[in-house]
Amino acid sequence: MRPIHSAFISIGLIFSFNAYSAPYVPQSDAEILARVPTRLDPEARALAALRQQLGKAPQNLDTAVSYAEEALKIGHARSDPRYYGYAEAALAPWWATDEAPQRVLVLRATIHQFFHAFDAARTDLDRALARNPGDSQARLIRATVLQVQGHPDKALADCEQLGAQVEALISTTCASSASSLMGRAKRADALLGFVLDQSKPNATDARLWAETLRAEIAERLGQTTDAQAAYRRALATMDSLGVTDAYLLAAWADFSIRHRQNNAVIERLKGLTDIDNLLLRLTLAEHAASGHNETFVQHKNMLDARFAAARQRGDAVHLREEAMYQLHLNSNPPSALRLAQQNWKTQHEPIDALVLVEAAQATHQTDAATPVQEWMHETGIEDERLNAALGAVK
Amino acid sequence: MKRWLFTLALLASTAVQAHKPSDSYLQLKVEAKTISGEWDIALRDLEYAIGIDANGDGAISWGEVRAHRDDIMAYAMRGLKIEAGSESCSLSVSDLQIADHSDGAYAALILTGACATAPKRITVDYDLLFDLDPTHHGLLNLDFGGTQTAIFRPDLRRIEFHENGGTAWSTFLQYLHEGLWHVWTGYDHMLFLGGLMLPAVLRRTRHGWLPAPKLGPALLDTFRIATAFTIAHAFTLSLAAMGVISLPSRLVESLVAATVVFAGINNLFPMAYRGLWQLAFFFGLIHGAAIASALLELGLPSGQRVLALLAFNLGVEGAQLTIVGLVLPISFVFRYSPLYRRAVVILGSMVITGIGLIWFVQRAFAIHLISFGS
Repeated sequence: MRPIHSAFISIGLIFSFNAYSAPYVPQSDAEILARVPTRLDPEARALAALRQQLGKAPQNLDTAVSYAEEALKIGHARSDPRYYGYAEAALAPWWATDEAPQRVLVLRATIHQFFHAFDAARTDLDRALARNPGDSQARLIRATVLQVQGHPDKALADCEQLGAQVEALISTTCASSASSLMGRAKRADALLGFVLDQSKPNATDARLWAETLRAEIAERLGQTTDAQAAYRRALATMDSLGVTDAYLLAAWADFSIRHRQNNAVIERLKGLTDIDNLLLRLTLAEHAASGHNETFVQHKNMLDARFAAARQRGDAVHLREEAMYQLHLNSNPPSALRLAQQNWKTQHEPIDALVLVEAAQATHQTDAATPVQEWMHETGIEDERLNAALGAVK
Repeated sequence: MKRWLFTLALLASTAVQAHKPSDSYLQLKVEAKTISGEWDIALRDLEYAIGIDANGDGAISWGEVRAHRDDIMAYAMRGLKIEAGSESCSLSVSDLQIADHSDGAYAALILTGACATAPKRITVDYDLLFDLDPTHHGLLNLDFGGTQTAIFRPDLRRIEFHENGGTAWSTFLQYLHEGLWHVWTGYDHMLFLGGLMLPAVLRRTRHGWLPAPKLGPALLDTFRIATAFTIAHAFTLSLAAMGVISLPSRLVESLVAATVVFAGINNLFPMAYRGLWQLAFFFGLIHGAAIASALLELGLPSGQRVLALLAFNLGVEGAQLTIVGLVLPISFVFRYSPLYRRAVVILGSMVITGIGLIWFVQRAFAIHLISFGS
């Protein structure tokens, strides 16, 4: 995309229909156009049953909450925003009121933060916790939101209050995640290793999360061999759970590309082009493997269309990924910097900082990296990638 | 407490949007009275809203889409309305096809419709899927003179669009055209001007009408009349259009009819000989207030009010001058003909007076005498 074009889009004045192709009449009635859940899909059936119930009594709080929870469960598993929308629709009678029931507040916060409305999520969670300080679900979500917003100290305070209400692996992972961003990465990692050893060895979501975190901590500390082993363990847990964890896969892919293991990334992600973040990593790996072949061009065009669609909608969910795309794939550092700065306003995870510093370096704007330096100083975060990138800026 | 909800919370920071949220793509083109367009709605959304996967095998085939053609059309069209002013425009689906977007196949509804008259502004009401998925957006690309875009959301379901909401040049052309058109189709202004101009190639003397010896002075006289008229009505027109003055339309319209009567009678029983341009100026003030009603109906584009007013006035003046330019040379040629003086001037003025009188009675007393547009 040319700078002038993106400038127009950024002020929201003009958009054209992206990837628009003329309508057509399919060749035959048998042609398959779209995939949806089958009638036998247990999750889809459960949701359909609740939907029917809700249709009869849309004001019934229990039914609405059950439906919303089921929708969020599916939406989370498939990373599909439509289900978050369905959940919101079910909560419509309580959606706009501050005095929403406790369960609605927590679900509403979950939906808000999925759409990166972090402040709205915080407001709901603050209210929920003021009403019931013992609501560990609300506290856990608030801890994660606070961490995404770059406040590990406040996140840690929430994690420490989880206490005995949740299993040890969850509360430890919560606390370690926060403290690893506060200059205590080694201790956090040791604690995680200890608790993982104490827990049952079978694959669970909590174990997957803890193992992913260990890999990330090792990577930040520059312990490449440990990180590689930890990522491998986490991927094995994910495989035995039979799920696709886009977060883990993206973190592992970034790590692997950084260490020139592009083919491994291509091999694992080539079938996951549905997921925008993974399509980006796949294309980055293809780019780094210097294979500017047909597949690469096709994937780059797909990415282009996805970002254009998100922009057209007015969404700011993909800012970080789009910045990476502009920086590494589209040779447009000024655009990358603008996106990274916009992203930094709402998100303060290490990868957000990294993208911003890299964009600052590419545009030779030393000042642009200053907010990251200040944040690092404030939190005490240890990150070899960030140190190296900041060294290159100067 | 459900276990997965904890997981959900733990993984909250890792939430990744794999799929695009629900959007529909609405393309509309308004050309004169005609509306055409295409509306792409995701098959996934239609499946959730009305159910298309009849056999429940998780695959939506073209055959299944075709089988639900009527349901899809009915469901979609409940969610889209276009109004021009207070009138609804017709809108229907002429064909159902498939369109591919970055996230899969969409039903492409080919739209056709019409408004009663060529609209200057339209209102689009969009209400699709919002009840099922409040994160749904409707992305509109509207070709209405120029291209305009908008996004419909649950909190923004009704949007008004003005023709050409675009460049200064397109605004200028639009309002120039409106000004020209208003005079060409506004019989009362035509008749008034005609009444003033009929004897323009003649010179009034104590002995009646005599032919003017030269075209030049006759043209100059007429030009003076038309311009004085224009300057005057530009003045009141601008004041009225900017909302500085506001006169009751019944009074204004009645006065306009009275000026037509006066113009006719003045040719038959001269009350004013010279300085007809001063009279035209005075009457122009009245006509300006009347023309303003047309402009008020059209509306002035915010940010381009002065430009639009200027263009409209230039259009009005242009229309008048073309009439003068067409009529005057012909009447000049025939000025020695007694037929012209008697039949055209006298008879014409009588007709003008008559019509003016009828309008006056109709407008002033709200009595319907004849159907004759004004």
